[in-house]
Amino acid sequence: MEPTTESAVTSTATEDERYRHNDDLPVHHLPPELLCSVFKYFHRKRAYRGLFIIRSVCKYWLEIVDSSPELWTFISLTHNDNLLDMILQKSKNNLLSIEYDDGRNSFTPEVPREKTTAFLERVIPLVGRWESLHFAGTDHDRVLGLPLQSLETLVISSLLHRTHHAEPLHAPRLRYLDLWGISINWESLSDLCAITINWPAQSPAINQVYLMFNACPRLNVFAIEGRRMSDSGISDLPSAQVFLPHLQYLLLFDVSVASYSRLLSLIDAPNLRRLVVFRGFSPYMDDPDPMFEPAARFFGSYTHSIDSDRDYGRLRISGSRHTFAISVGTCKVVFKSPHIWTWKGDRQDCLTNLSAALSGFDRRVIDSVKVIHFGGTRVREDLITLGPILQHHFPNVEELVVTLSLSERRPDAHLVLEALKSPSSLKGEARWLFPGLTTLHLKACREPICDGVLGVVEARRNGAVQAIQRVSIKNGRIERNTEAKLKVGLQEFRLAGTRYFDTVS
Amino acid sequence: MSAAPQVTLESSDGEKFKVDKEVAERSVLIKNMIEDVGESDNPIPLPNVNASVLKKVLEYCEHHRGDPLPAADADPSNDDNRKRATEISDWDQKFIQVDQEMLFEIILAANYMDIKPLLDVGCKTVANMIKGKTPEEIRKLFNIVNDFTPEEEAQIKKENEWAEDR
Repeated sequence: MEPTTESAVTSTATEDERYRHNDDLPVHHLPPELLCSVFKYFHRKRAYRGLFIIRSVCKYWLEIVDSSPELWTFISLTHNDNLLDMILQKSKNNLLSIEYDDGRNSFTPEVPREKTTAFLERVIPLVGRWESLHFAGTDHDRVLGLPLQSLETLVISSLLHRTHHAEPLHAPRLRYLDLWGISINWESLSDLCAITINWPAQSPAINQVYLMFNACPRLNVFAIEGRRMSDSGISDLPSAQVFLPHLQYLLLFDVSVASYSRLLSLIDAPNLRRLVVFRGFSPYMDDPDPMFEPAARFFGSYTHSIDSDRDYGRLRISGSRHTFAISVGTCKVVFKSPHIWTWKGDRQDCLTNLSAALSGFDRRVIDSVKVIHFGGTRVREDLITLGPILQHHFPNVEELVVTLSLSERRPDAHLVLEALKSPSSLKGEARWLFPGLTTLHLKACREPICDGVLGVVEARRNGAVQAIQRVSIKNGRIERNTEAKLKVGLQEFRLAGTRYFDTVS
Repeated sequence: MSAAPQVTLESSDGEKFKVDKEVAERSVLIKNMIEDVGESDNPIPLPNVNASVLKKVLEYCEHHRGDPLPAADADPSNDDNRKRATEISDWDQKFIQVDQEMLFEIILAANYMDIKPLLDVGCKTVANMIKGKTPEEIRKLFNIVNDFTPEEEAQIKKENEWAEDR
């Protein structure tokens, strides 16, 4: 039957005819379970508004929505009693996501005590069905002591009143834990996939973190933001390695450097993608330098992905005044510190550390590195300062990618490339930087004049090194004559977004 | 180098499609059938999918032949999965730009042939069509008639206010 138009049907049709018309529509060829899948994508847990729009369309859709408990799983303290009744009735025995923010421990408006009490009285009897709990309030003792048999996700915040919950947590299925201002019984945690600890009332001692890692072999993310962390537990750290094959993100903010350096040296995490070490302004912080070597081990030691990761063979270095990041392939190690990683005062220490870290690289990683990227706001310093060290450690570099940031103050990119233009004295011997270099990519902002590239190309062509064969320049400015000269001598020369200028003689 | 092994699929209207086994096995249904029955020259019948839809489904499977297979336990109701799920790649978006009837046929075929990523693309596409629309606009989109009685409509209106009133 060809579907009729709504106006034709509605003007004269009986209720039955209208129902039958809807039954024949192409959209209703989808069985209820598929329509429910569509509604799942449309419906956002927190707002039932979308679901109420769906159930207002027609009887069939209303029936599907009302008979699909999986659409009615989110319960919030903000829901009114009628909606809460409806959700609890329609969710049947499905697992529930509970959101509770009474405003007493956050910056949201405070919820009257009678409402929070009534809410907890309704949801606590259903504790066996809690799958996720987002709790911001002062009553955490009321929920943390419960038998949380189905709980997989726990986000608990007590930022304004930092507290410690000493009793063991009974949550055998817990996989994702996110704590804000609260500390719990660390020994009771096991089998977690993600742990985030922010400003805990009592930081876990380092041997407790070690035990936590041991008890969570599927750990994927570990993030901790410390607060005057002590070195307690360091003498109790076992010497055995912890194998964490799933660990991808390890984020350490203001932690005890001595403790976590030691812990890092005990972690075997072959799939780590990001290690971020942040040192804040806190006067309680100690020198993060010892962190560098165990941290660098992560991108330098593991060779398993060299064959499968097409980004392997690329070493990226970027730095700003406060940040220094190195990555090999997909593994990136970032150091953030307002004091230590600025080159000015501590340059020699940094170079010593970098050199020591690179020494620990696996031979296969060293051989695989063919491309080095320099980026960030310290390109010039990094290229000139780090170049000799990198060259020493990575003899196979063929390609350089140099990104000149907007804060590169000097107008001529030639300065950045100065280090490549002539041999410099290294240990009393004149040596060219990256003697195997054949490809140079210069990514400039709007202003830098990139004519200096010509000098580099010509100097290296006449020097006792490989000649540069490919050059690309993105943005920046270049003289027309320079372009013509570069084109002649190179296998490949490309400009993108570069502006021309003519020299006034 | 030997040629890739192939299988023949037969649509509900009798049309036969010879495709690489790797492509056909994007369908869990077909993969299981091949594993159960073993490799054979006989065509694999797909009585629930007609030729025009099967052609389209195979176009999808061919394009995604090398993709990693989805985890069996990936739950679309999980927030992370849902976020990932709301993104449809450019190629998939173009692929799924078909009329409504074909769209729903593709969803049905993906469900029957157990091709989860294609099912997800189809469901997401329908969800995106609905997004931001009022009930009246959704009715118009799918040619649905409002079949609620005035009493039912009043009740729904009242319930809708519960979702607004926080």
